Amino acid sequence: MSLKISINNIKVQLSILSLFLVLALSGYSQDGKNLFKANCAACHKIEKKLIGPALLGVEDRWENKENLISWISNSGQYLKDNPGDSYAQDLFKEYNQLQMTAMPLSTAEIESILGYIAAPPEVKTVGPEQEETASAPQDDYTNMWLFSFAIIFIVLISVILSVKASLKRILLELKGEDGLVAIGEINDMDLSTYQQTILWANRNTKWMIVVSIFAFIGILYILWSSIWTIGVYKGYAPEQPIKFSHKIHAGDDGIDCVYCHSGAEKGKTSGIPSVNVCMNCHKGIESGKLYGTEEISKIYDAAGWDSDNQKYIPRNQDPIEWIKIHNLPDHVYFNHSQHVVVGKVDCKECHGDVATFDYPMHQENDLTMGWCIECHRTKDVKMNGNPYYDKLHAQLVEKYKSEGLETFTVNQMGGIECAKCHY
Amino acid sequence: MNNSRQYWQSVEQLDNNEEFVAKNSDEFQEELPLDKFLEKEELSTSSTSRRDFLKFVGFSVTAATLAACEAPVMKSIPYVIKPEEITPGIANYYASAYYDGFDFAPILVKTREGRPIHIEGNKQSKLSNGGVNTRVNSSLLSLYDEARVRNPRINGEETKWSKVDKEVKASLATAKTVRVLTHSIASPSTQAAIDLFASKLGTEEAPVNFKHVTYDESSSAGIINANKNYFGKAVIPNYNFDKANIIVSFGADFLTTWLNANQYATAYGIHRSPKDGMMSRHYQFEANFSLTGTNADIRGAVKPNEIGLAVIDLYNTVAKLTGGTSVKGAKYDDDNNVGAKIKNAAKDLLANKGASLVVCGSNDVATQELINGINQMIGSYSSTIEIDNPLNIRKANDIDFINLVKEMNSGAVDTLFIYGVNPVYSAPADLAFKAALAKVKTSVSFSTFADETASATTVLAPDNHYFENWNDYTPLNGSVYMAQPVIRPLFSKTAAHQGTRQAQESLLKFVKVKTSFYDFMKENWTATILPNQSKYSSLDTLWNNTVHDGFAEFTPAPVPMTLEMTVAPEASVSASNVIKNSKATGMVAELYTETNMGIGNQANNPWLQELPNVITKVTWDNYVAMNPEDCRTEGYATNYGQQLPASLVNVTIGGSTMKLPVIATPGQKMGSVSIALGYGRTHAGRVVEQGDMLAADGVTKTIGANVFPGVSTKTGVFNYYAEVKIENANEEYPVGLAQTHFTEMDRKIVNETSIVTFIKGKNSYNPDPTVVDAYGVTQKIENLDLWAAQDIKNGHRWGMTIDLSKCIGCNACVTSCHSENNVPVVGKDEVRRNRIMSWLRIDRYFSSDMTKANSGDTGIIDMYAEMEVPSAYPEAVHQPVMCQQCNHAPCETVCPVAATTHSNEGLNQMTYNRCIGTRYCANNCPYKVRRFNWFNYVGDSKFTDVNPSQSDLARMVLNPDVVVRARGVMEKCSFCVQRIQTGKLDAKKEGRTVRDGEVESACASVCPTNAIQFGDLNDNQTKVKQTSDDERSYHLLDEVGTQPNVFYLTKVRNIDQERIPAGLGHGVAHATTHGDSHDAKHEDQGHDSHEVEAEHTDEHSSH
Repeated sequence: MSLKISINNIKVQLSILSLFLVLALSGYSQDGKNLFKANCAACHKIEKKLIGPALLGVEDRWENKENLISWISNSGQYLKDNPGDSYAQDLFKEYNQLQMTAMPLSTAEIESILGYIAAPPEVKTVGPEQEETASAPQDDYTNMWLFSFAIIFIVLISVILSVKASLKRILLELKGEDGLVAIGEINDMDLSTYQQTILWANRNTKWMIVVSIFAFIGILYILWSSIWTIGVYKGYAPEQPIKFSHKIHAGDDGIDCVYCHSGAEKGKTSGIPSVNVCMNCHKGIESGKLYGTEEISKIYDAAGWDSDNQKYIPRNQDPIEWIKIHNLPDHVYFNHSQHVVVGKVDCKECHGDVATFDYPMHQENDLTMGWCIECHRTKDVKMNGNPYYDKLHAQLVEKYKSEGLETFTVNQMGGIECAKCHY
Repeated sequence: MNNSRQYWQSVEQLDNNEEFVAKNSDEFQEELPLDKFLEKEELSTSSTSRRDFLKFVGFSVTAATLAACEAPVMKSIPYVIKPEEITPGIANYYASAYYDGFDFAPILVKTREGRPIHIEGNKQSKLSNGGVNTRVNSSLLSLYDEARVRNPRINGEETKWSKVDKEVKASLATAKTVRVLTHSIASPSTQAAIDLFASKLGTEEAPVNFKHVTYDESSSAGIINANKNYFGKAVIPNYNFDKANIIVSFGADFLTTWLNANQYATAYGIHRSPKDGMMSRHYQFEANFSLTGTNADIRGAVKPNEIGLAVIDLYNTVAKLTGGTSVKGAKYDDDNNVGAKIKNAAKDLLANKGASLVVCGSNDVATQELINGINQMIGSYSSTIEIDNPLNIRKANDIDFINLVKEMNSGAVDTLFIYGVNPVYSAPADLAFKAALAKVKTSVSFSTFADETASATTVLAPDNHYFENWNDYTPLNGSVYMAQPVIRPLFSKTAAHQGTRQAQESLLKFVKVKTSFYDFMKENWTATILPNQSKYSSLDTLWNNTVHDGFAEFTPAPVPMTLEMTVAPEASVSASNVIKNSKATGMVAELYTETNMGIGNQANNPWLQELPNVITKVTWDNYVAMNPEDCRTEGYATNYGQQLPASLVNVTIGGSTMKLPVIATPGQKMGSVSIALGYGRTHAGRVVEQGDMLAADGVTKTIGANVFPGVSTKTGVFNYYAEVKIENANEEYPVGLAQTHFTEMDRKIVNETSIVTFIKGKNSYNPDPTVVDAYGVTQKIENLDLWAAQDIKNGHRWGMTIDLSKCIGCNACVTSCHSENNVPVVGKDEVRRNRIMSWLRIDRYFSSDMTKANSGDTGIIDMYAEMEVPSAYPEAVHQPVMCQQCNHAPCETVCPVAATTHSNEGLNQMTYNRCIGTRYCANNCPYKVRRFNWFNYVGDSKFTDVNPSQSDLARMVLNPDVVVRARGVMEKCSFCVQRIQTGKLDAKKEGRTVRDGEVESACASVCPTNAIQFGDLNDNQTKVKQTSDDERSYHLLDEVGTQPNVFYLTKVRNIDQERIPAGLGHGVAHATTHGDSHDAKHEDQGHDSHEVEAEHTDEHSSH
């Protein structure tokens, strides 16, 4: 019995192992870089200490490559077999006697990893300066075009005006002053531009009335519509202390919004994540796609993290002063959890498709009262499945019996009353 | 010609005399306060012309408009490492305990983002059931008091802690006599720390004479000594007011200030409503009209010095009825039928033997011995009084303090530590404490403020606020209460200041014990508390449970002891001592502790200073309370208002004279006066400097006058009455009254009946009001409506009931509301203009001798005039009034901008950002509960010293969920809509219905007697629904047809007479005129078309 079980166990183990090997072999190419990323990068960096030591020059540090390879394959076994290898024993002790996981890698695979470590490809760094130079010319072109068009128009207008004046002068010479009057023209050559304008206006009163009415309405319209934009900061995208890209985090990396903005499910504010949340990932990820280490090091400064020695410096923390983008007036109460948890509203509906927004983050919607109410008037409340609404739903069905409604908007249950948001 | 007819605006204009002509030549007839504007020299001499000024105005308006268009840059700074329990926007509650030597209360502290913003009671504690009095819930503000000391001081100079330690250690090294002076220590660990401190003093060769002296500023040594003489136990027993059918109190204000008032008020409230089975009957005999007196069913007025004689009277009556021996009594001044009332009380007490309780507030030992005698005769010691369960919050024997001062005076005390008391302010004048203090070589105060005592000691070692400290209390045996820090010390050591340090830690540090008090407490618990209980097996479980719940109860309640009266004194000896001590000549003043101010340790708290006195509604002052009859005899003013000042008198107590206003206080025993203790603080902070009175030095401004020095010590205990001389100063003094009318004028405002009438059924005391409509048909009020009915059947309908039988009028709800809703403090001057901002006020009405029933031949005008005057010894009722959340709200219909609207949950919503301040709504509100923001209270310099929201520190007290209102908008009770919204949201998030009791307004949550119920009226299971359906329930001014969501429950007095409530009876309300003038003698029977009448058989009306 026991023998059978153990044989079965071995079978199971073997099959798991083989499956693993097959997966490993089929899933990963022999490429050193990929192998390194898949197997080593969780604990090692090439140039820096992480959980394990920095790997640059690892081959030089070992006496011979065979030892190194057998160490990598199974360091526990190696330590047992070679109690005399003082370098290996010291290394073990230096890293808090934390054994490296045995790696089911072939020698060839290890070789290729070592090859990658010895000669890593250059990290492409795109500095912020390059970014700016790439985007700056576009702005300049627009301005330049506008500027040149304006000059051309001014030249054209002045040419036409001078031609008109010359023609008139010729007419005056040809017909004389009386002749001009006879054909319904006035000699205004001696008058100033202002006088000429007045003269023209006096002669074209009907036209002037029409123009002034339009101008008046136009000005009113501009004033009116500009009043409505006071305090509306749609598109507000201030510079932030860290050039944080939502596109990279929420888009490329697919991190869920509430992983960082955890308050959205609990309280009224969604909250800007505290630095320790950033550090969950950025302990390992020291260099970003766009700005290299420049921006990420600001997190380390805030958290008091010494990335060289991989430890926190006590009492050396300095919070990050973000600029708030979505500001609601003081006299309104808005609660995220009400909308996210109870209303099951997707973040996108108010904040836009943040996963596509690069730095700087901007405000996608008006966030005006009208904008709020619009939604409260049209969206149905998700009452189904929430016992809180059971009784209310039945009452509302009764109330709106004549209209035969089954689902109800926020408005229909009193959701746009003043004291729902203002107190 | 008709057109030539002349109209005069006034008689003066007709006369057209010179003075009038001169006056009228100016545009403004009264003098304009130009000086105020031009007091700055540069203004009056400035060359800025009117045109320039207008230019500047225009420019700055434009500039401001442009600036407003720019996006404000707001920073959002997250934590570096977010504490796990804190989520921004979500409140955390911590259980803690309050004790300041006067009040004890288990509390719950609400904190937001780490700062305490509100205090509620701990509902799990059986001691107070979640009730906290107004002093306790206001103590929050003292955390953020600008006057808190931030640096230790030596001889008044700010210094470092190390220097203080060095100084005190040096003093202790040479000291031969060391004294620690504290209030009663209810904390076992603090006591252990003091004991450890004492044990470390001196050496074997040179022992130190050490003594720990307790001193209670509001002393109860009379009871302690009487129990010592009687039972051989120098303790204050535990009183069970909930077990008493009959309560007789001689001058004990046990609902708000006497001993452990928080506990007693809660227990008292249990049996004050006739619906809850037994309704207790309460007799009160006192000189000063106390809050407890207003709640008594039967009250008798007795001179303060003659309380003991009344006690003898009761003793003799009870003895006679039980066949015991009576003692020799003496006649006392009785103009209020006290003798007969005492006879009834004696009968009631004996009829309820074993379920009765007699208490006495007198500090006279002999009087308390007689009280013990009475309690023994009526069998209280087996039920209502637990002598073996001593109250630890009052332990001081006054003689110890008196001896200490003698010792200090002789120069024998080398080092004195003072903790929790302020004797320079509160010690009786005949002890001359301040002079004695100067003779102590090194005196150390641990006060958080540089108060009168702390600024006279050589060393000030400032303690933390109690919110920043660990502490433990055993107010009674068998339980331990924990005070835990709810915020990091605001003044911890920084570059700016040296910071504060917990007193217990300082004390231990002085004897080189370098342990934090937290560790010390844990050690002490391991050694003393853990072994003495069996409920918790380890310190961790005990400790963690106590931190979580705020308290731990373990040993079973002590068994009432069998009495061993080995040393009981002869009653006749006690009685003769009482008679001896009661002798007084001339006017006698009772020096009482007042509901709001207590012993005055929170004098710098503007919430408490502006809180109206429970009886007289006076704010920002103490005063001489005198019976209106006496006032009229002496020629003092009896009506007060913005234009009507009070009279000032010179009061001479002992050797010193002070000026105080006289306030006519109905119910005050004639021939005696009362003056509140706790006022006249000089070293409390900026708030008390706003007072209108002057301290003894003639320079320092104070609020009211300090009468503590008038307490005498000649009998070996503090005697809280004194012979006084009162002389008219012939000066006027403005007083800030929150309510300037006294009586109900025969209207059904507080519906009040007696138990006898109550038993006859609803129609005899609370009939539904009806209206006779234009066609002469009698209609129910709700049938006559101007408006369509509100849609309030669906979903929630929030409502409130207030049981006036249970409401004791203690003001706790008022300050709780202030704290919850950021209600501003406006100062005395604005109070006088009726601009007090309270959303919730407590109206007090006195009864009048004149009623409709006994008006007889009195004409109607005279009758109403006389109804305005309260009786000399009236009954009083309290009625909390807040926005009634009318379903047909008169305010809503008159708002031109729809700033006040109705919600489908029954709330009358006030939208500040819509309000343009026409004040139409306030004018149209029949309840006068709307308050207008006349000023920018958070910015105007007039309010800098009184309004806490103007200081950076005190602003932290504001509730972030409630808007701080701007100038020019109306505000009013919102039914704590922020709490409603939070409660609903929690239920929605958890997918369940709202539980009863989950949503509670701030007033309801602190009510010690549970008089206020709050909840959903559309849910049949809620308490509020059930109480609103009670037969006693009625609406305030129901006849107006406002259909409020607030219900009041008729007050029932437990008296044997029939009592038809005011406002009932034909011809009660004659609101409209009959065209011709009323003949005063004409017996008017007619009804007008919209007259209110009651549909009941009225056997008591006068016609």
